[in-house]
Amino acid sequence: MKVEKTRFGTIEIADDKIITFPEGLPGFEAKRYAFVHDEQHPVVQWLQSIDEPEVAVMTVDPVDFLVEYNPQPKPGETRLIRPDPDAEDELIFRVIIRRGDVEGQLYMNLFAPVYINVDRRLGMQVPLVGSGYSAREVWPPATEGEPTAGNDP
Amino acid sequence: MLSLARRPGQKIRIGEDIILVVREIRGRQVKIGIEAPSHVRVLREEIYEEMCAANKESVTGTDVSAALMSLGAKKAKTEP
Repeated sequence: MKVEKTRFGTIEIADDKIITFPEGLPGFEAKRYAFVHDEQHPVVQWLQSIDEPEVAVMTVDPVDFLVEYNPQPKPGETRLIRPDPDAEDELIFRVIIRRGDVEGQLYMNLFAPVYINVDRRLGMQVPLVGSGYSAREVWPPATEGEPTAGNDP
Repeated sequence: MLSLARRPGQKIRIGEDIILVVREIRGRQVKIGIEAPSHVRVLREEIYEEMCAANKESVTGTDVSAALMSLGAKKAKTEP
């Protein structure tokens, strides 16, 4: 499927790459998205809307930055994208990067990660109410992000 | 918007399987019990609105891109 007028220009999304968000992503109308890799910044994956081309949300795999971040939503909280709790569907999560309060600063939204059921191509954003995780965690984290940045082969 | 007057202990049924109970009224605060199927997301509205605002701040592309670029530049400088 061709998606025109995205931040990357016109892009081609294979049908089997499309992820449906049954409840959408809060703030946007669109229900269908796909991950688009950022060639300049390999750690970044844009969650590109199929239905609203101007919408592309920046995400990262938190494992690359925060080893200890391991949110555990209750099974009911992901029921929407994992209707059969006994199925061994693979769930992955990504965190959204957002603009910080100071120019040039970026935050990770650790409070509300995006969960994807890879096998069923379903997604949802899950607010971790009561977890203590912040929606304004500076990215990349100074302690872990800086040393690893220069050590990559 | 539909408005219903209820006393503590009284309930409101929404559809087949959602029930709201007024548990307690104390001063300016009401405690509401909610029975809903586990797949129904129950959230304080301000949390949902914060999620919307946060997501939109990810999309304001130029700002995010610029910050990303400056980040990339910083990383490049640290490399030998």
